[in-house]
Amino acid sequence: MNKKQPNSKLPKPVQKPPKAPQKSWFDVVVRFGKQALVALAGLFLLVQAKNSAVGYRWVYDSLLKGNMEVIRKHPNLSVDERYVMKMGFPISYLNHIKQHTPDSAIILFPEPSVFLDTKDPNQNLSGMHGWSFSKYAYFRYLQPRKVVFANETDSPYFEKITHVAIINEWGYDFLSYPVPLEHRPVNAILPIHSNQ
Amino acid sequence: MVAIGLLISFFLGYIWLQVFFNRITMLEKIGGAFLLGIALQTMVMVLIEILGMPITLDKIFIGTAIFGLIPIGFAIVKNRLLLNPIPKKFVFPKISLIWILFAVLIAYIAYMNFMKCVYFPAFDRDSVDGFESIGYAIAIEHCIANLTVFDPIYHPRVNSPASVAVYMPFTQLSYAYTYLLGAELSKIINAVMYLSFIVLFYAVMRRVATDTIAIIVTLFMMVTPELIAWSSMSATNVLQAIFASIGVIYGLLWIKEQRSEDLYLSAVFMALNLWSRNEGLVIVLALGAVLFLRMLVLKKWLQIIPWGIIVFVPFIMWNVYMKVAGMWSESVILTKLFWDPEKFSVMWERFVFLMRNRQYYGYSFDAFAIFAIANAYFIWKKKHILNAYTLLCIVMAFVLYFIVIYQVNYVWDSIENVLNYSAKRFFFCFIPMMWFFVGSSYLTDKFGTWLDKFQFGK
Repeated sequence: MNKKQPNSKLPKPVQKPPKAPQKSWFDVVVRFGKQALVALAGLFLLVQAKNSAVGYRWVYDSLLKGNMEVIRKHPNLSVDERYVMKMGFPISYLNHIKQHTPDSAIILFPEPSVFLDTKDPNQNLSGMHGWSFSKYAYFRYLQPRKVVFANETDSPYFEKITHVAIINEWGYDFLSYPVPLEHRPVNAILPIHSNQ
Repeated sequence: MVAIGLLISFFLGYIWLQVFFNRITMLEKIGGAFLLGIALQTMVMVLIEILGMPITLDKIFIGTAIFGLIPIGFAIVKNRLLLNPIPKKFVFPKISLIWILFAVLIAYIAYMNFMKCVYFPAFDRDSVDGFESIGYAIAIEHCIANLTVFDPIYHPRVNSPASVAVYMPFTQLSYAYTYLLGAELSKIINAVMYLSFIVLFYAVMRRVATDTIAIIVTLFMMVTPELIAWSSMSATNVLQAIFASIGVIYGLLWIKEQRSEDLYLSAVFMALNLWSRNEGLVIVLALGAVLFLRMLVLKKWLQIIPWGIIVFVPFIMWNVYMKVAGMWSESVILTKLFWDPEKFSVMWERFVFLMRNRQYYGYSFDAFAIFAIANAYFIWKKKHILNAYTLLCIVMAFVLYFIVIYQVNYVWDSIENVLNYSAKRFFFCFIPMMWFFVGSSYLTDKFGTWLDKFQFGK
């Protein structure tokens, strides 16, 4: 009878590790209870932090929840309407300029202080004051139109002005034609020459 | 199209991280991918400009593809994996009820912040008078140096002190990219970057703290009032703070573990910090000094050289290009040393006011101060290298920033206004660093370990 020779290449039998002791339901409940206790402590920490620091309250209640309320109330607003919501009358005024001037227009704007001299509270342009001197901002909202400021008298663009931004009744002096007092809007965009 | 374009940015960044920084965790790659990818694409846009070509979407995509081929080619040559292999034994984070509570809160707050960011247009003065408008102009006119708004004949004030025209280009170019993709609003960049940052911050915190501590610290960091408020503004401050703080954290992780990936990722994010804002130099110098100090101790000081090269190459490239293209602004730096006690006093009072202001920073500074004092003994006695160097880096950066602000000649605005607005926002860089210190401190580590034992048993 042939005996099988032991084959040294046969894999050694793998010893299975001893089974971990099974957790009882009691262990699971205890562990859950401990985690719940820690979670409650964490919640307490958060509530205390929110109540004690006005910054955190502002972040949660006003910055985040407040703005989400606005988004939920107006989910389908166009981008232009959202601009009006955030920037108010100034953006409406700039849109009005875009609609009533050609792309090649060169528009005269006043110095920043004029924007603060509000004549009509329903047409308040003071929000523009902070960036009313900014060619970058006017490019953003009026491009490809160009903008010249009243103090840029040395600029070659000054002689090529096509329109004047009437801001809080400023600007009528630059027009080449008279506009009767009773027909002067507080804010408008008018061609510099009447035949344009 | 916008979503596709941003996904392309994500995959570009992911493939660079996957090939060149393979040993970082998948969560770090997911968090860091968009941050790196969008920054690389802004560099593509600058290269297109340098080559004299119009900056259009097709050219950006071609450049992106070329940038994407670099890691692919490297992976093929070096026989590295392009995709993560499925691990044989996936290690879940230790999830407890408190972890779930904080994770749900983070997700909820991040969702509200994201929606706010993408819904409302940019309306604040710095956005309108700066990055948002310049980004839009670049997208319309397909160039940088020859923009109409950069022509001194049309715009006589373009070279005035602190002009936005000479700011580092990351923010405005990233906005230009979204406008080229057809977006009506550019703040999707800010929204996605802040989300990525939250993920990445949590991922790096997990390397030095338990999962529970990491998630708690992440929540407190992300809800810092002024930080989260400005995260949805079209400004460069939070974007630069993201790059700066992550770069510092990776540098500190190298100090702790000496893994080369951490050192070079630190260099990359420091480079992006400079790529987004000049003031980032303060953080670079502070971290560079701290790293060099550690390298001297380890007798590996030569490693500062490649770190420094990576950090400064994009910065130098942009400044050389500006010089060649004729873009400049009047200098506001006072190069002579001087002593002005009134200026010093105003600055000191304002700095202290800002640091104590919980309306702006919540408990960030309080927590940092308390944990610094509480752990001082252990930093000394236990020689807690990570905490010691973190503290040194933060303090050094503060001092350097104070010196820089002191040496500036405020011709365009009052020093009070500059401190109220600029310094308030520069402090954003320190918020994640301070919470990193809190989360990785010796006492926090002991508490976190005890908490895990309490919650999960042995």
